[in-house]
Amino acid sequence: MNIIRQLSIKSMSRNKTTTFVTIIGIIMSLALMTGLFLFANGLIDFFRQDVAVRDGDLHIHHQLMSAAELETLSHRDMLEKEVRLPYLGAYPNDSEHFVYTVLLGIQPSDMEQSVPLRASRGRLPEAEGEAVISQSVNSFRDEPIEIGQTITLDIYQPSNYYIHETDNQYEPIPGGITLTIVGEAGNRLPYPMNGPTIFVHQTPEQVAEGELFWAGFRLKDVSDASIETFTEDWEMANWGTTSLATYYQGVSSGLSFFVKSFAMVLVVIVAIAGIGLIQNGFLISLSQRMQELSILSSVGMTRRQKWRMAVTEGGLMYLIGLPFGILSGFLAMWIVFQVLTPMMQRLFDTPAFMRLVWDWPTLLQIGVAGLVTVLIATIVPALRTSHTTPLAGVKQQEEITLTPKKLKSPGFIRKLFGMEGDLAWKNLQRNKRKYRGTLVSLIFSLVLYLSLASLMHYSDIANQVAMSQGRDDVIVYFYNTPFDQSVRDKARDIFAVDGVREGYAINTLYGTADNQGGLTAKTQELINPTEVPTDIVTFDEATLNQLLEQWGMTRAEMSGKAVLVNHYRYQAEDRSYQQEKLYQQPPTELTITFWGQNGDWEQTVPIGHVVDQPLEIYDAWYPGASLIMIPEDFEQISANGPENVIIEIRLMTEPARHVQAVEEVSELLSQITFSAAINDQRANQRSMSDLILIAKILFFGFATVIALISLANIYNSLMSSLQFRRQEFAMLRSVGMEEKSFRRMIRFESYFYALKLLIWSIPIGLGTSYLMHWYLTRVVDMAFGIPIRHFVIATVIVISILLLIMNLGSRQARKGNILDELKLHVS
Amino acid sequence: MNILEVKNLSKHYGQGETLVKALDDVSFSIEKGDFVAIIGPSGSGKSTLMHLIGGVDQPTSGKVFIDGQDIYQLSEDNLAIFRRRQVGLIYQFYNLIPILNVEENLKLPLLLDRQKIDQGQFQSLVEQLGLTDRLNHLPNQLSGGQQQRVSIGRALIYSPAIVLADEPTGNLDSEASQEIIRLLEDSNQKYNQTIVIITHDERIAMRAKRVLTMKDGQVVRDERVRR
Ligand SMILES: Nc1ncnc2c1ncn2[C@@H]1O[C@H](COP(=O)(O)OP(=O)(O)OP(=O)(O)O)[C@@H](O)[C@H]1O
Ligand SMILES: [Mg+2]
Repeated sequence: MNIIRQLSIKSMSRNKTTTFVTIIGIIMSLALMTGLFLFANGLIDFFRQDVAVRDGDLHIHHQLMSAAELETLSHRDMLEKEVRLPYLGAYPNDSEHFVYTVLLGIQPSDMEQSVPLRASRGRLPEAEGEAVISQSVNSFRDEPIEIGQTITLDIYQPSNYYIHETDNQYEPIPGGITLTIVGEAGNRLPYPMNGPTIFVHQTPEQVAEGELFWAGFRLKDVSDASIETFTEDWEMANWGTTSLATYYQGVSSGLSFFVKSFAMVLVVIVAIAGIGLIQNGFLISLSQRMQELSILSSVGMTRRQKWRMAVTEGGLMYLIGLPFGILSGFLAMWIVFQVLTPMMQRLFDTPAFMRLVWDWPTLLQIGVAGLVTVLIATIVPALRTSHTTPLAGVKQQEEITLTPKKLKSPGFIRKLFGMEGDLAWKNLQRNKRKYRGTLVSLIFSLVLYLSLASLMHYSDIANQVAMSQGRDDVIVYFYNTPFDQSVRDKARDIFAVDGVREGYAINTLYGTADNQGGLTAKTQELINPTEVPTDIVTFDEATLNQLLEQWGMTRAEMSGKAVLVNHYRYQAEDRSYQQEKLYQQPPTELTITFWGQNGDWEQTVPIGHVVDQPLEIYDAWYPGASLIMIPEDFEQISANGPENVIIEIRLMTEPARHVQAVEEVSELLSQITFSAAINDQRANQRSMSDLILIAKILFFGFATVIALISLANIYNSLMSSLQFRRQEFAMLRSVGMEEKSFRRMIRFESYFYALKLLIWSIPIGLGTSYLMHWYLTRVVDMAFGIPIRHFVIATVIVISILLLIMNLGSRQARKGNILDELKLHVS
Repeated sequence: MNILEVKNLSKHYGQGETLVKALDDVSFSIEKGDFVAIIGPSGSGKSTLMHLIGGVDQPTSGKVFIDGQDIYQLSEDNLAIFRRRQVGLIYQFYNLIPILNVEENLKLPLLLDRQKIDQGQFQSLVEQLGLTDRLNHLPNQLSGGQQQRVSIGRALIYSPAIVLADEPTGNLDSEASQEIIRLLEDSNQKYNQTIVIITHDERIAMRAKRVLTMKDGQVVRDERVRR
């Protein structure tokens, strides 16, 4: 072994803790990089699986190829799979966009993987002569095709199968085609079904006889280059890549590129933290060896040799860290994926799963990223080493540069904190440069933590805001229907569904009243000066009876009159929600104008009662009036213009039976004749929470590891600085400093350090928090709020960690034999 | 009156074959106001004795009384307080705190005790040490002799019961050495300060009132200097 390597190893084993902590830091950095790459790969793979299940496993499609062209395909060796759907004919449509409906042959095996059809009604074709229609087929037919029907279609061979040409010539195909329509394919495939299509069952023999095909290809290796090579002879307009193809790494433009870039940004963040740590570790071990280095240079070690020594040290630590780092990255991600998969499956409604996807190029990338990190981290220490002069080590370099001005402490420090505080202050000043790197990396990780905490805080709020608009689990909307008996019956049926705990109906007829004055000042600011949004609202019987009881009214008293809810909520400029009274002097009647398809119409409603409180179950979410009426009156008025009515059936379900309840409600809705929609709030909330949880796991995991790296860094620098000062500590004790004072001094040093750290981090953290809020409010409305809890946690953690390390590090100096400590040569 | 009493003091390092008796059953006493020089060959146990008297090391056996107090009976903290009030220690090397300036280094025992200092007394001490225009300097900006004068000043500032100096002139030329000794002599004469000094320099030893000679961890000679 040569002397340089020997020296490196010796010094590494002498500075055991520093070396150890530095290696731990390298391992963490590498693990985090590995994790990020694996996560990026896993995510891309997840979506690739998902897209393959939804849209098929093909990468390239060609809309029209002849049998001959397919036979003479120039790059067949690049293919993993080829799918042919023969064109069987077409019939013209009365539409400019989709000039005909196409009949495509398909083999059952291709329906599974390559062109996955999902039967939304009926089933998929299983035998010869069976076919499914795509959803749009019937919208182009005067006479809809029924499922189960056997139908003979007149079909033609168009002169051109391109969809958008109108000057086609049609060659009738004799005898047409007779098919049994067994179902409807519900999923919208981006290809080949972008027009109305009838998929007809084919046997392999039938496909082999085909002349013209829609063809799809799955490549062995997917990249921009391979796609270009494969398609080089084709005309641009005839082929395209599938959405699946964009989920490959080598394919630019697309999700994989985005995910990879994002991962790279994070890798750079990790690298920065890693560089901070490793560099600091080296600097420490070098400064502890100044004397030795200067002796080495005085006996004739050249600059290059010293440089090589420092780099060797870095290289050795890297080599030790590499396997552990990569392995722990794999292990950690394996665990993360186990947790994430069920959530992601629920969230994206897919059978796809997160798995460890790796290849040698990826591992190589990680290795290189790690090596670059370590090398960058060694440059400064190596330079400093190679510049060590024989003299520099004899006197401690840093001590030489001390000046009284640098160490000046403000007078109040000593007054307030005594001698110990003064000493602590001076020490921080002395170590300013040494601590700078540590400080920056700590500030960096603290800000990162605070920003992520804010982000999560806001996402939580956003989710809550979105959900607070209703405490209901399911909302069913009916449109364009008067509130008549059939609707009431339907609502009753829905309330009776098993699993529905509670339900009520809110029926609103939207209109406006002329502004007759009497509004509160705030309202006047908020609304259009000439008209006041005024809606007529009614509820189901049970709910209405409750309200009547609350108001102390009878049904008879309400007949022909309205109860004015003189109260509304609105969103203030700062995006917080406020409440306000509407009329200062409520009117005795209101004339409301409703919009109608056959011209506007008016209705005058007398007001029998005014409530100044929001109704618990209903409140206007904009400045305006709500007039509550009994259902009969509502029905009568809304009959004039049902297009202004929205009926909301709000349901609260029992959690355990929520899913069945939603299914049953959907079933009930499929039987009605008017428009309806169902909004499963609970499912929305659940997937939103899942998404937030996933983000939380990832972000906090990431922030934690970065924080750990910084922690290792601060541990190293504090320990070394304390180590370096042992002699000085012994002198203080020898002159008569008691342990109590000593502890005080160390404590002050920790506080000052923490203070410095927080003075930087908290404003920056708040700044990023505010920026994030500003950015997010463009998407979701919410008030600005500081995640105080996280700021407190961060502060407490920082102070405790500093105290802990400082205490640990000064233990020996505090307890050890003064004389032994004094005799220590700083080396 | 005896300000210092050393009784059967021993300090052993190592065990068995490697046993070193750095100090071997030493007993003697020193009167208040005495000026004692300890001489002896290198490795004879001078520094060891001095550290034990100063309360910065633990003896293997034996006792040290200062002003009648058995110092090794004291708790750690009380021993620290004892050191800052009753002992002025000057080491062979490394005496000053690098981040404190000359003034602060001088006043350190007082500052640790939260004591106000008599400014007049301080000024005259500084003048005597010749450090008037160096008060704001840091140790790294001082010469070796100046640094040593600061440590002497620090040892004297609290008027301790006893000042212990381990070769305070070790690294200095003879002129600077004379100056240091003069300082110690002055304080011995003016304030009746008890001083124990270790030295290799015969001429310095001769300026003391009493000379103890050590060899192999024992005091082999104890003589009064006649002038
Ligand atoms: N920590 C230690 N471990 C082992 N032996 C020690 C230790 N410290 C001192 N010694 C030994 O004790 C003996 C006395 O040492 P001491 O430092 O007291 O000598 P000294 O008289 O001051 O010498 P010098 O004039 O060279 O300073 C020496 O033989 C030394 O080797
Ligand atoms: Mg000695």
